[in-house]
Amino acid sequence: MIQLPSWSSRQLRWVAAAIVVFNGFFPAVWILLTSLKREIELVQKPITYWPHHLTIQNYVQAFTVLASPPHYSKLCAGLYRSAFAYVFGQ
Amino acid sequence: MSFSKLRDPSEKTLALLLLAPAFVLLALIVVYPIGKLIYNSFYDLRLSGGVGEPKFLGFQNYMDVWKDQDFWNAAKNTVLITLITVPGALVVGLGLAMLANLPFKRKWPVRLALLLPWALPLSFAGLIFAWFFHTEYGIVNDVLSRLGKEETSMWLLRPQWAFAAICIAIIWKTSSFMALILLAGLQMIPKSLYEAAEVDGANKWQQFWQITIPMLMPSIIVALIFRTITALQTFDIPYTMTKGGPGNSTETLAMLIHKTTIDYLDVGYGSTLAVCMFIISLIITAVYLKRVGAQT
Repeated sequence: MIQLPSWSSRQLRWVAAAIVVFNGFFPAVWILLTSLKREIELVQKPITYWPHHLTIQNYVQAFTVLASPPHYSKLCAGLYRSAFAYVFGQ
Repeated sequence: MSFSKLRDPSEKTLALLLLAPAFVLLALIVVYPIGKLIYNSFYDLRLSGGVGEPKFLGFQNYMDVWKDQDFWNAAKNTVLITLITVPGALVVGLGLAMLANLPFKRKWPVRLALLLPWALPLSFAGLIFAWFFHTEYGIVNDVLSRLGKEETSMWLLRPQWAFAAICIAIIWKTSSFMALILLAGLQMIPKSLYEAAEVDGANKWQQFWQITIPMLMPSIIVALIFRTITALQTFDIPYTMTKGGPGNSTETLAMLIHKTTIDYLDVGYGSTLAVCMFIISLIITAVYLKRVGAQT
């Protein structure tokens, strides 16, 4: 293991952790924030970083659409396929 | 068949019997498709061409590939993506691994952040980065303009810029896997080596080049081999980000095969392209294994 370098104070370790966490989480967090924006806000200039109006409308819509007939069968087919791949991929 | 009889003939028969199921499965899902692919590559199998027996063409398809500008363009893009993203991901991955290897009190947020890009589906990463690099509503252009860049750059609408954007997305996605393997390698290096170097008066830079890199070489080679093989098959990220555009400036071999077979319904020619891609991958991997593998 790399030993603690002399210049590496606690603050520097925080910076290192921040870089790694930012690199890993940033896209996922951005998508989460985007999913909470209203549709009109997505095509606004200048772009907004924090949603002005938090909304879960996108999630409601996603689950309503998924539960309706044409997509519901696709969802089930997808789940079956994943299960099949999981069982036989072991 | 009685048990004694089974044991009698020889160990060989038993071994064959035990190997048979695995062999049959492999033959069904690996040997047969590849054989069928090679067989198809000699035929004119255009599904849009009406009914009738498939016409045997001999090596005509292969001659066409040789003269096909699209094929050479896609081959060039694939090799370029490999040459750029593999070393890029190695450098970024090594940096991330060294940062993650510092002695933190709470390890899990860093480890999770290291794993997350690897756990995301490729096409999902491609879609996110396509949104990042959007000319009007992308965060990259927004940050650049805030930093004082005057004109907006049309990332995904200019051949070179689109290529750069795709390389950035691939490096982000794959450096995570590199970092994981390298982190495991870093943790195997005994601490006493650094203590001895410290006593001898070596600085951090010398310790990095004289201890970390040589001790890490086996992990680096494993990571490079895995990464190169998957880089040659690049499909998802360019497909979701640009669909090969603008024009076909970011089209990889896998995308060209997909387009020929699925969109143009030309199964024969698509199979020929796939065989050619297989040969190219085989050559590069063989040369690479010989060169890189010899160093271990």
